[in-house]
Amino acid sequence: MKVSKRQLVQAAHDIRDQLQIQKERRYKELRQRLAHYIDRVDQLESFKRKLSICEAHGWKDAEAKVVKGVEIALHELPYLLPEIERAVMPCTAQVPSLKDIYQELIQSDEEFGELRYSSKDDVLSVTTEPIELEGVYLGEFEIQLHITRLGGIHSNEAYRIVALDPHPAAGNESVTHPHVSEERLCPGDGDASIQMALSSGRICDFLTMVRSILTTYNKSSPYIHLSEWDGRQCAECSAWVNSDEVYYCHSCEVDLCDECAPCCSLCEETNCPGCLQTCSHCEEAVCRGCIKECPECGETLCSDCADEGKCSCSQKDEEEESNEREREENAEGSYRQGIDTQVGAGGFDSTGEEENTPAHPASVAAG
Amino acid sequence: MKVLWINNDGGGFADYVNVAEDTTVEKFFSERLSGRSPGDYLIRVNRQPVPKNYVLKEGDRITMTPTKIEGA
Repeated sequence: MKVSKRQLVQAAHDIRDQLQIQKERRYKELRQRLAHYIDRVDQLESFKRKLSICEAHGWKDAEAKVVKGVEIALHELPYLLPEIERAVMPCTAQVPSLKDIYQELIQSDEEFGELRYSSKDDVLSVTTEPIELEGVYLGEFEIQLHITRLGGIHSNEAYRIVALDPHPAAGNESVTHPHVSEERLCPGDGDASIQMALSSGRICDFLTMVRSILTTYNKSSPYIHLSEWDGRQCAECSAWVNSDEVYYCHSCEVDLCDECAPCCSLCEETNCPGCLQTCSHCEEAVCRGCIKECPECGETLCSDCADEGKCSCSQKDEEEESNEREREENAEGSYRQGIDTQVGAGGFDSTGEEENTPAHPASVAAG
Repeated sequence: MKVLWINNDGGGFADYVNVAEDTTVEKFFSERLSGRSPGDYLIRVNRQPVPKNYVLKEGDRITMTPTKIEGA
């Protein structure tokens, strides 16, 4: 609903009140920082007096302790000055007149086509054009200015970025834009300018700067890179993979990157490492569909090895059978040999070799 | 003559600056933001869009807002 002139005046009034509160808070903060700095300087003055006393009395040990205190106090001082400088800058911003703020709101309405105001929540809002960055469609965003939060020290708390047609990152639904997470914009290079614009009541400048950030992609530090926007996360190494480059496990259906997607040695289907088992015989990695378990001993074998009877229990049976056969053959051989030995004692073996064997010379001589 | 210049690039300061008579918006831009392209800025004088040959007048309010700001 288009905002009425009366509503604009009310909004301008509320903004001015909040900026006045903010200014008072900033003065208070500046006083506190100055007081802290002065305390530290006073402490140094105190150390100076103590050193004089130590010197007068020749208290060397006490003197060393005082010097240690000076060292600690000096260490803190360089950090306090920049804090004071940061507190001074926002105090220089003048609280604008009601007329100036009203004109800002009129300008915002013209720049964005429509400025909306919810008197119930005291929220001003505009909508961006549909935003597409590097071919990724992100949709329209509503920039909301929560007037009641403008009085805080940190103006960034006062606005929210709401996706009206959300196309969040696949990996995190709260990231609706590379630079927006949980409706909060990370303004990056625009931070100081946005703070200054809000503190000065330059509402239109604030809104246009936020729009400039939303329509720009900083690939060096987004919450989620646009290249990973529609991506899937590898279940093994947690890396983000583009949708068209993702593999999936044929057994448990998790997403995998190409480096974590081994194949079954038999059927060659992609499986995650957890769904592949190693054949105890050939040691190849195979999927659940290609693994078989021996009903006798429970050993897991790939279907090829199982079909060929390579299970160790089958081999053991074969081995035992072979040994048994060998034993039987040996036993039979021994038995026959025993008989032959007995028969041979009579002067001839079955082959008749004994007959042709020449007699020992000694036996001949004895004979 | 003096004009109010609000530069939303960088720190976002607003200050009155001296400009020569007959200074156009285009010239003012090239003097203040040399090396930058006017196409990358939303330029408004007294809250309104103006042509590049608009001649600045005493007390004009000029805002220059980058159209590309890198978030983080």
